[in-house]
Formats: sequence, C-alpha cells, structure tokens
Amino acid sequence: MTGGRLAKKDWVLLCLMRAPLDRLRLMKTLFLIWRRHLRADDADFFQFRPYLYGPCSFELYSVLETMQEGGSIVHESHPGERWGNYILSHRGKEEAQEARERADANELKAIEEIVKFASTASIGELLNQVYEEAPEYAVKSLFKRLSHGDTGPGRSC
Amino acid sequence: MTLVLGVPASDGVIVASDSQATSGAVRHTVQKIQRLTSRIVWAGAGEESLIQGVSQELAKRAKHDGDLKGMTDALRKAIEQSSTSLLHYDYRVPYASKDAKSLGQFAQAVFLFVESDGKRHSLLLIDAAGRALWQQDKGHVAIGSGDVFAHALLYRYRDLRLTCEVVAALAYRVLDEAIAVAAYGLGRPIDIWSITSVGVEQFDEARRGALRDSCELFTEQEQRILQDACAGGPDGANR
Repeated sequence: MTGGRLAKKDWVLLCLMRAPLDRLRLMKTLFLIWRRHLRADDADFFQFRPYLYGPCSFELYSVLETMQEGGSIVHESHPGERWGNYILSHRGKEEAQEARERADANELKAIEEIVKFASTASIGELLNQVYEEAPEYAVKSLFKRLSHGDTGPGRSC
Repeated sequence: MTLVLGVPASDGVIVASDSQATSGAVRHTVQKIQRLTSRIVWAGAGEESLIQGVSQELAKRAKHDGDLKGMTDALRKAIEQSSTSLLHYDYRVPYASKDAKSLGQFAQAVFLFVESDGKRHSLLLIDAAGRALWQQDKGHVAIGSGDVFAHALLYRYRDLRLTCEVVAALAYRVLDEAIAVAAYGLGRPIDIWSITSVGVEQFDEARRGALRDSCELFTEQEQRILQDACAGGPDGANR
C-alpha cells in the first residue's frame, strides 16, 4: 500500500465513514494505519512524532479544523464529555464516497480493521496497543501504564 | 482579571496566559504575551491603558537584542514613564491626596519579563512604579488577579525538573482549570509561548490542541486512579 491516491483529508473521511471517532482515537487510528500498512517514508501521509500521549501529528489538528470550516465534518460536543466525536456531514459523506472509489481494497480493509478496534476499545486498550506496537513513540508519554479496564468507548472519551 | 504564568523548565521557560480583557461590562480578547527580543517575552496584568502605554514605550525602546539584565533600567524607565503619563492625563489625580499610596490606585499593574537561552533563565517583575524584583530560584511566577489559582495548582510540581513540553501541558492545565472555575474575568484562548535555545516561539492552534488533549487524558487518568482506589483497585479487592 502506498496511499498515493489519497490525500490526508481522504484518510480522515474514510475513517469517519466507518465510525465516528474522537480526536485521540482518530489520531491513533491514523498512526496504526501508517505503521502497519503504509511506507515508513510516505510524505503524503501524516507525520508522527513521540508526544505526551504517544504518537502525535500536529497536522491532524489543522486538517480537522480545515475540514470543519469546509463543512465536511462536524465536531459533536456534549456537556460533561471531554472529547466529542467527529462525524461526517452530508457533504463529508459524499466526499468520503468519492475517496472510497479511489482507495484500493487493501487500504479499505486496513481502515475497516483498525477503526473497528479503535472505536470499540477503551482508551487504555487503544493506547496500550499503540505503545506495544511502537514503543519508540511512547517514550515521552505521560500515560504508559493505563490499565486495560479503564474508560470504555461510551464514556467520557 | 488576568493570569500570566512563567514556569522554568530544564530546557527553557514556558510563559502562558489567558486572553480576556475586561472594560466595564464588556469583555474582549487580547494577546497578553508579547515578544520583546528574540530571547525575551513580557506580559502585563492590571490597568489595560497602562499596559498599552508600556507596550508602545517598549516598541520604541527595545530595538536591540540585549539581555534582560542590561535592559532592566530601560524597562523600568519605560514603565515609570507610562505610569507618569497615565497619571498626568487622569482628571481624578488632582482631587486625590498627593501621597504615593493614593496615586498608586490610578496606575496599578505589574509586568513580567522572561528570558532564557535554554539553560539559564531570568524572570523579572516590575511594578507600575518601576520597582524591579528578580525571581531567580523561586520556581514559577504568576501575575494577575488569578495568580492564586496558579500558585495552588503548580505548588505540587515545584521540585520537579521537567522539560518545556511537559511544563507547557501543566501550564495549559492550570490556565484551563483557572478559566473553568474563576468567577469572572479569565477567558480563552489560552496563549502559550516557549523560550528555549532556539528562541521565542508562540504555540499555534495545532500545538495548543495537542496540549488540550494531553491535559484531558492526564485528568482522566488521575480520576481513574482515584476511582480505582475507591473500588479497591483493579483487582476489586474491596468491591
């Protein structure tokens, strides 16, 4: 897989097409896609660096903001919740469908598999999985010892 | 109300502030932290017109890249001059008694200047009268009427030697929590600057977003620890 036909925005659209995700889950989903399935030096994909919560791409924040301003995604925010999920707008669904047509079967399979895990695992499980697969990205993390039994997907994350 | 923090780290200093200014019943957003040179930033808390005056004075005076120690007299002079000017044009002043304490009520502000080359840091406070106070070896510095929040929230980390990246997250968290609970006067966005060996840098929206997420996760983990303790821990021994 090279990911050459898909722009960064397309990867976000395709992930959210599979399931709504909050920013942290989306970040880790994109990282796992890159780590498992894309070329390590793929310049067209998000660039990750070790950060306080493991692998982080600052660029994702800018891309999400641009997509929100452009009307492709909506950030759900509910009182009492820390992070709201990002969901596709009507326009975003159309754009995701177009991106889907450009993606190859392996890319779609990778997204399907990783989003399925990221959207149902607890934050602790997700972070532990990421740190296990890429310990060099966990070196600065404040959250190395999250237990598996912590916050579930339906909770405040 | 204002809250500005200067927090030394092992590789520089983090300076952070809220962004709300209040004029009577109206609030608006202002950038409170300003770059003075490639190694120095400053911020003021107090009378907004005095802070604006000082900002204009500093823009005129600080055209070179000197160090903070060498610039101290010029900074004091700029502040003193701005205060004098403010008092000169304030119609209430002639009606007030001529003692210093009374005059001080008309020009209340404190200014924080922070310098670092990544290894050595200098934090300097100058009040509206031009009196300077160096803050070496005092850990963090907080100015503004929200300072008590910062002192309380940062006290637990006073002996730790942390990197700018981690200190930025702590500073963000302190501002975030202070804004959440302050009765009035503190407001977003949270402005964060670092001064390291590469110079002065203001965090952009993306980096502030990453700090926000780190803090949320940090808080969540903290709450989880407490909840686990109440439930007898992950093994459920006391459940």
